[in-house]
Amino acid sequence: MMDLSCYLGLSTILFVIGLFGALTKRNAIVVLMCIELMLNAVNINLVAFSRFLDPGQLLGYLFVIFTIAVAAAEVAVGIALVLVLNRYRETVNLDDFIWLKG
Amino acid sequence: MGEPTTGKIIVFSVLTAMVIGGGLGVVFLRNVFHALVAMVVCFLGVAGVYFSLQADFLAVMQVLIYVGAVAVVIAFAVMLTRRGTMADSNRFVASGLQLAIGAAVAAGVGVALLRLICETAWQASGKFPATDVTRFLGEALLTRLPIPFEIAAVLLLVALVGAVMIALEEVHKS
Repeated sequence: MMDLSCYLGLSTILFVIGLFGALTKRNAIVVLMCIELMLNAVNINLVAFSRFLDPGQLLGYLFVIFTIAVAAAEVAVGIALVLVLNRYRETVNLDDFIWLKG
Repeated sequence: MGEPTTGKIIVFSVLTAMVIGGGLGVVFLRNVFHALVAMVVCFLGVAGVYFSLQADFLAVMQVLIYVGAVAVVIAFAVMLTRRGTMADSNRFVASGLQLAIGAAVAAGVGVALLRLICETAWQASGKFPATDVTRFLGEALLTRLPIPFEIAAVLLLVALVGAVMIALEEVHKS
């Protein structure tokens, strides 16, 4: 069995990739995809901690189920918002969504 | 724990390549649909990681929900939104300053987390989880944790109804 740090390193790299994308992409759909990558990195973390540090309880596995449910809800609402914004402005470029700017 | 055998190292390397390669593809591929395919590869790699951690139920959920549902929803969004050219639809922000700040923040978080991981002395327990993880999860959700389970169900219902309401709004007006 590979040890805990391997999995933590993998999830850190995936989280950093997702964070970089979420901060620097201009397509709203791609930003949502990058947020999904970050959530997946967190899920790997939870499963690895649960498997290696607390195999009797496995509470991390339960957490991951709830995280997946929340992530699915978030994608549904996020995509609906993107579609509505696209209908108003005919773009998914985040730089164009500045209505809240005073 | 057992010694890592060559086979396990090979499996872990392949899964790592899938996860990280898919993640890089999401960020660096120019065509947004190619980025979506890279995201699916990444999710399948994560499902493999769950399998290697004996979380078989979670791996199946990962394939069903992420690869099945989330990827399809995002594919619909890609096809329903308007853009200039498909081949150049996944660009970085225009300002180099914002790009540099984003890279610096991401690199800073990564270095800090990797240092923490290396410096912490993890108290790994030598035990293995019970063989029947799926049974354990089902019993835990329906006996010890029924209220979070029901709240998650209500959350999903509210989110889906809300998504439909948001997306339908303009149809009524026009």
